[in-house]
Formats: sequence, C-alpha cells, structure tokens
Amino acid sequence: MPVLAYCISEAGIGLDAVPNGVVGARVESFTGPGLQCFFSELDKAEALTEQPARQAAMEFYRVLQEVFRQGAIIPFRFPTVVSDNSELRRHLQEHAAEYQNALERLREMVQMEIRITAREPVASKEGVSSGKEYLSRRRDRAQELETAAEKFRQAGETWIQEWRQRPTQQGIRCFALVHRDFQRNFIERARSETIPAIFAMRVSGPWPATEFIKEV
Amino acid sequence: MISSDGEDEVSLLDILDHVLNAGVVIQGTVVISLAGVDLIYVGLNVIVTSVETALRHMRPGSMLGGDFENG
Repeated sequence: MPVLAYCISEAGIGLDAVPNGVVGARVESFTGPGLQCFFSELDKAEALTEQPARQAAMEFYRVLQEVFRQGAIIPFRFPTVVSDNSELRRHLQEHAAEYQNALERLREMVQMEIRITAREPVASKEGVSSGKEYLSRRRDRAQELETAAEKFRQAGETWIQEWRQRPTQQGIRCFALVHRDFQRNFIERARSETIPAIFAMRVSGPWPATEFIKEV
Repeated sequence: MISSDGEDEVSLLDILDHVLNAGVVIQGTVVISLAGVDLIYVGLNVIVTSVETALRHMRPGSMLGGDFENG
C-alpha cells in the first residue's frame, strides 16, 4: 500500500494531537533507532489527486505543524510517496545516523526567515544607457541587499545560532537558526529594524530548520 | 528609511513554498509515477512543478536537495 511520508523526529512524539493527514488519512508513526517517522497509508497514490493540490499541501502542513510543535523535525518534501511502509523503514534505517545527528543538533531550534525584496526591479536593460550601467546598477542593488541582510543579522545576533542567506530574483532570503524560547524576541527585534525605503521586508516562522540540514 | 512591513504571520504562499520546496527527498523513490504523470499533471499542477524541481536538483550524497527558489 502506498505511503505518504510526512517527517522524522526524535522518538517520543505523541500522536494524540496530530490531526488526520492528507485526504483525511490517519497519521501513523513507527520508531527506528531513536527516531520516529510519520506517515499515512493511502489506498492508492491517486488519492492525492482527489482534492485540490493546495488543500492537500495544507493538510500536509498541519501534520508537520503539530509534530513540530512538540519537537524538531526533518520534513519530507511534499508529496513524497513510497510504494509501501517497508521502503520508508528501509530509508530510515539507512540514514538513521544522519537523521539522529541532525535532530540532536537542531533539538529545540527553529528557523526564522526574513525575506527582503525590492519594491521595484533594477531598471531593465532597455532603461539604461549601456550594458555597463545596467550591470553597475545590479551590482549596487545586490550590495544594498547584502547590507540590509547584515543589519538584520547583527540586530538578532544575540539569539542567532546560525545564519544563512541567498539571493533571489527580487531580493534576498535570510534564515536564522534560533532557539524556540527566543523566537518572539527575534521577531520583535527584526520588526523594529529599519531598511531603505526601496525594500520591503517580512519575517516568517517558526519553520522546521530545513535550511540548516542540507548536507547531513 | 522606513520601518519594516511588520507582518510575521505565515501566509499560504509561505506554507506552500516550504512544503513543496524544503525537506528530504528520498532519492529515486519519489514514486509520483505510481499515480501516472498524466493524472497528476491534471490534478496537481503545483505538485508536478515541485517534483520536477526536486528531481532537477537532486544530488548524490545529499539528503536534501540543493537550493530551491521560487522567487
């Protein structure tokens, strides 16, 4: 029977508060070496198509949210469907040490995100007198974004354990690894920060710390 | 200089971005083909996009895909 995988946590998470999952399927879990893996059995994989994708993604998120409320998780990307329960167990066994290390390191940690975006794009190539000027403007914009990101990093450094950032087409995304107990402090500090008027900023979180477990 | 926009609530777009673009990819066993690509394409356009992105970025030795960016 196909299985939809939600996430992995350290063992000991209660299922009582976990809502039903995607397409109303019951959420179950099995434990591996110190780990707990959450999944739903699907009558058939096509079940995922029986409702709008957005609704399915939200149901998936609600399961993650409840487990994450109880502890650190490593989510599976939606929709990760494997052919049966044994395949998921095999995956957990093969990667148990990596998951254990990551979850131990991220225990009690959450990921906060600051997204800084330009309110207006850099002038198009047609809007400037030369390619050189266009590139120069792009370089200046990138530098301004870096400066703004650094400002947030410094503002929150009391609570930030690790920091990642990467450029996007419209701006820059910054990720802060913060202890659960200090997420509110971080948000309030970030929201009190000022940035140049050409940029907009938004804080979101807490999220599972996926940006900090890339190369486990 | 202006104050931040100051909205820290998690939006639907944020949620979709995170569930579709962040997380473990089980290499070689994203069995989306169980349902048949055509069927999923009809019903789950957003998901198909994500899976294609995930597959494109899968790297040997990395449990999580590379950098995924919607923006």
